[in-house]
Amino acid sequence: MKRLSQRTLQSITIGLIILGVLALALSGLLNQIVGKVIDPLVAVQGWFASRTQAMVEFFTVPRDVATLRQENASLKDQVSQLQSELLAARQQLTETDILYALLDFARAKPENKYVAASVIGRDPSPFVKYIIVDHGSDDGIVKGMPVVTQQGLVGKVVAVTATAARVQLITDPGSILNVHLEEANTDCQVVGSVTGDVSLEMVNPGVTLVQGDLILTSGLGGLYPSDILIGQVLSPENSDSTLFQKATVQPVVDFVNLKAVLIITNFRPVDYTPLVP
Amino acid sequence: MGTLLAFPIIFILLVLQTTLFSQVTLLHGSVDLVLLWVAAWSLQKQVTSAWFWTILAAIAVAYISAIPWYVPVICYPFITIIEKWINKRVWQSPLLMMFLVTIISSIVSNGLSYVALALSGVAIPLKTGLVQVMIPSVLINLLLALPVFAIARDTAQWVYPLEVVE
Repeated sequence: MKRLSQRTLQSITIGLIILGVLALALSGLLNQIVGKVIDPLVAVQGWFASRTQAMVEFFTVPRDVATLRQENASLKDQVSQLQSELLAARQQLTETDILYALLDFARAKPENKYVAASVIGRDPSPFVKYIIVDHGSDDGIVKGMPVVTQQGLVGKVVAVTATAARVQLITDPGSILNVHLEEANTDCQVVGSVTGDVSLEMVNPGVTLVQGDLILTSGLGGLYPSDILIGQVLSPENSDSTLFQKATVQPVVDFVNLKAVLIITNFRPVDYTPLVP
Repeated sequence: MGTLLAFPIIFILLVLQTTLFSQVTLLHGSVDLVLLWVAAWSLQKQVTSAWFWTILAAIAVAYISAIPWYVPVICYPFITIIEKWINKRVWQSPLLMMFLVTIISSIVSNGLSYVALALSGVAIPLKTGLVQVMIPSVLINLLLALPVFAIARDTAQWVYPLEVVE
């Protein structure tokens, strides 16, 4: 009984001490003491940890460099792939813009039927100005059909295969078309040249040429529909000594960067050669 | 093989000519890649099918181009004839011959184009044609004569390997 009471007393004492420590810890009074004991341990732990990390890095860094190089190469591949996709997307965007513009033009003139075609080549000879488009007789294209863009007249189809057609530009030195000056209200001709410049010729000397006057197809001769925009009068050459007046023309179509065109398929040029004596 | 190779190479040259090189201009003159290739190919001594290449190139260009068909049909064989003729005289310097043939063939080709267009009713002022097209075309052909010659020589050595005499 006496021994038991001693053990009970010890247990109660230990329990009270534990409760006291817990009470001190919970009340925050023990933090300073614990801190002073733990801080050196944490410092030692930190010192060991940093040394251990250094040793681990020493042994594993070469492997990491190889991995990083692999990842770098892979990321570079991804970047170049994304860049090429971006370029393709931009290209598609440009083409879409062109097609939308052509579509707007086609909607604005519903009386005409159009076939849109991409420019796939240019004539190898520097003396002539022709383009090759990617639609031919399979798409209903025939010789003589007028070719336009949303800006204005491009030229006419002069040769056709099943899947391609050759188009003579209005800048070609062999191109002559009948036009009408809007403001001056007179008919004359637009002629191409070997340099790609376009000039206005056969202008009645009694007419006053005005810079900026709009030039439209007249429809005379039956080779082109009327009222398709060609360009503007750039610099009139009024000379008393010549039989007709001349002028340089600023075409509305950018023939250097021509990428897509519309072929007017419901226009049939008039072949009047049997009427020529 | 040398004969069959003419089809893809002439095709590739025509595609390059109509897409890329027709837009590489000096004033209004442009390079004639097919003409340069015919000239360079015919200059290779080991090439036995030069005439086939010449005729094929002439027909292909006559078909593709809007220039009167007889211009390449006359001009290209003329180049080969000139080369065969020169080859027997100044054979020691093929590079010099390439430049010489390029000048002659460019002048003949452009001159013939000018005359053919004049005959078909397209009047081009002589001074404009000469200054804006012919002379720049000759110059730009000369610029590209050397790389085309080098490629043609390597292709010829690959197609017609020279036998090693021991």
